[in-house]
Amino acid sequence: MDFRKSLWSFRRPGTTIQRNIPELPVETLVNIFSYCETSDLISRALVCRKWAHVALAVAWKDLDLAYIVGERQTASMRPLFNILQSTECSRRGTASFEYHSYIRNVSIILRLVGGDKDEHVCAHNRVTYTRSILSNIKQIADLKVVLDVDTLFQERGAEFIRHLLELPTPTHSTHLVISGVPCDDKLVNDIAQKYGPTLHSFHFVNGEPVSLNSAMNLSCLSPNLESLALIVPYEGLLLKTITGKNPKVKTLGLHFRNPGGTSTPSFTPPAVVAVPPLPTFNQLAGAVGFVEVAELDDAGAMVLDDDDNEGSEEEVPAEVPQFLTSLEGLFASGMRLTCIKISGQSAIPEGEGSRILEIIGREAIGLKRLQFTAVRDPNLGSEVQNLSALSSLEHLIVSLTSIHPSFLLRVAHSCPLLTEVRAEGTQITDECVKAFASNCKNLRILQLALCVRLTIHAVVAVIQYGSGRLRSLDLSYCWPVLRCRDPLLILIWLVEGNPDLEKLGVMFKPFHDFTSVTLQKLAG
Amino acid sequence: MSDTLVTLTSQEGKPEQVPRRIAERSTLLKNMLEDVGESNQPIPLPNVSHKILKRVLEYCIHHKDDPQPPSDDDKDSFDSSRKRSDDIDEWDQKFIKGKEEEHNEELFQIILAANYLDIKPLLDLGCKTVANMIKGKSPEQIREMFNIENDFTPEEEDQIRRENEWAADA
Repeated sequence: MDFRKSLWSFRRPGTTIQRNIPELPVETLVNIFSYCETSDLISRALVCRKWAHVALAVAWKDLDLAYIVGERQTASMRPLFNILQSTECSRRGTASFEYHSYIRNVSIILRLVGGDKDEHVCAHNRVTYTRSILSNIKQIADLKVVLDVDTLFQERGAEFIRHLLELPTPTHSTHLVISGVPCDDKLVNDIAQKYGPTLHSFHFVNGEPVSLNSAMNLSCLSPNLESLALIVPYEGLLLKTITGKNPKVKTLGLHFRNPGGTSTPSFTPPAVVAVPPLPTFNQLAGAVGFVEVAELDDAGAMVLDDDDNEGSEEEVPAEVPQFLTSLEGLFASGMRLTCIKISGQSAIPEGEGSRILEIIGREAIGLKRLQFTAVRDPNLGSEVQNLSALSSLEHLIVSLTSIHPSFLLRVAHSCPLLTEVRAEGTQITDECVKAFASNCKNLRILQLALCVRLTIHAVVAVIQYGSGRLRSLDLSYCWPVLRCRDPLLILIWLVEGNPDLEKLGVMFKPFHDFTSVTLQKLAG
Repeated sequence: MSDTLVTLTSQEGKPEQVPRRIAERSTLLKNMLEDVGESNQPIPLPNVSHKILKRVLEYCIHHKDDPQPPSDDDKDSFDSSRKRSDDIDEWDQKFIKGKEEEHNEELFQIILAANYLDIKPLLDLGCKTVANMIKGKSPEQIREMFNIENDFTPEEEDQIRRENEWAADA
């Protein structure tokens, strides 16, 4: 409202002459202009001063800045840098139209990863310049920031966030996706303090874990959080706090890691990561924000080293039930996870994996992606019966996991929407492959490398029962597949039957002299 | 209760009786009636002429069964991106067009009344119509249409042109 008043104050007396047509109030003009094409802006702005202020205010309300190393450009709908620069340099104090006073919504994407030396200099200048533009902004309704930096920009990234903290507090919403910035508790606490009430998304990934206290503080101060991704020390209590304090959270990515990172953890708890795209924000963030969360998790998975698990046996039972209770509480509170990812060889003590799968199968309604990577738990999932919650599952990743074939069979029958199944290095059987092929008509990706129980019958099942829409099939090192009279002929049928097939993995070295060269011939 | 009649008095002092349900299409009247409770007192509308009141009520009667639009108290029109103006239904289009010769004047009066009475769908209809009218027009044509006088200095005009060139290709 203040904004409109300030618009009124621009109006000079007698600027419009009323005859039989009444003058429209500013808020009505705003409403009208919100239906107008940007390309007509100049026409509207040149009608009279009052119209100019309203038209420019509507057109300039969004400040979108994007700088992505490697693309060598600043993507902005407006040539803002130039205009604001000229504003600052040449017309200080005399300008009739101060563009930065119209800005209300700020979106910034700074992706400073990789690139050569020139680009670093360039990116550096852009950051400085972006800061100087921002410091002129008097009010912000919506703030959206994606900051993704590599080690070269770490410090600058942290500095940039501190600078953001000096800007006016957003009145409406705040979305922050921060990746690669060294994390300190003070920063997270300051963010919670300043943005808490308006904070809708907060991702702080690819850095050191934040302390449990900071994470809890953030959760408590941000009742409107819808999306949260953090690296935190493992503690079931946090899930409980989030369940209680952040009822609107739809997407949750918690990567559990203890401070100090790579030192062998005594117990590595499962990581639950939910990474669905947030529609409006995703348009802004492009591939930046959420992919990083996934990458974070992959990197994190390497930390999950189970070399020495012996000394920790006593600690495990105390923490796991708490995690399971929290997980159940999470679902019970109505939270809808779209992705669950559990990785690491020591992630789950014996027997617990099945219990987790059981909870997920029963409660995780709406889940799109289920990932158990490198989880070693004998007969994982063998006794899980109920997968009723997983009817919308699209991605199943059980690579290098001791998943029991009966679980896979049940998934194949319960999840008709699957598009991707990755089961490298598992005990998956021909029967499972047949079930996936015949029940999952959307199946595009089937990764079965190192599945030594598979025979040529699995391939035949794919040809015979599949929908013929596979894009990628990996059979590398499934050497029993070759134990038949003419595997090549069957593979040719496969290729013919799946015209979309882009990748077919049939590397069998050193086990067999059947290489990708042969395949190229085959593809030809 | 919704069948009771409400008396509205226009600018000219002429009373107009309408069912309460119709009057409540206006958020202003709805709140007023809720505050006052059961009362036979006429409600004065000094900002609305009788002719325009009749037109507004015509709209309210036609739309009496529409769901109430969601209130968007916490979000003003600045926050939403460009909205569609080509989704006006046939009846509305005919209604807002009114009589050709006094179209503009009446349209503006209706917009002002809808604004004052807080009838959001009618206000949006009016705004969409104006947006469609000015689409593709030159500044001179718009000034003509709205009886607005050019109050720019040549320097200001120049500034706007120069600094908003980008919009033409947006």
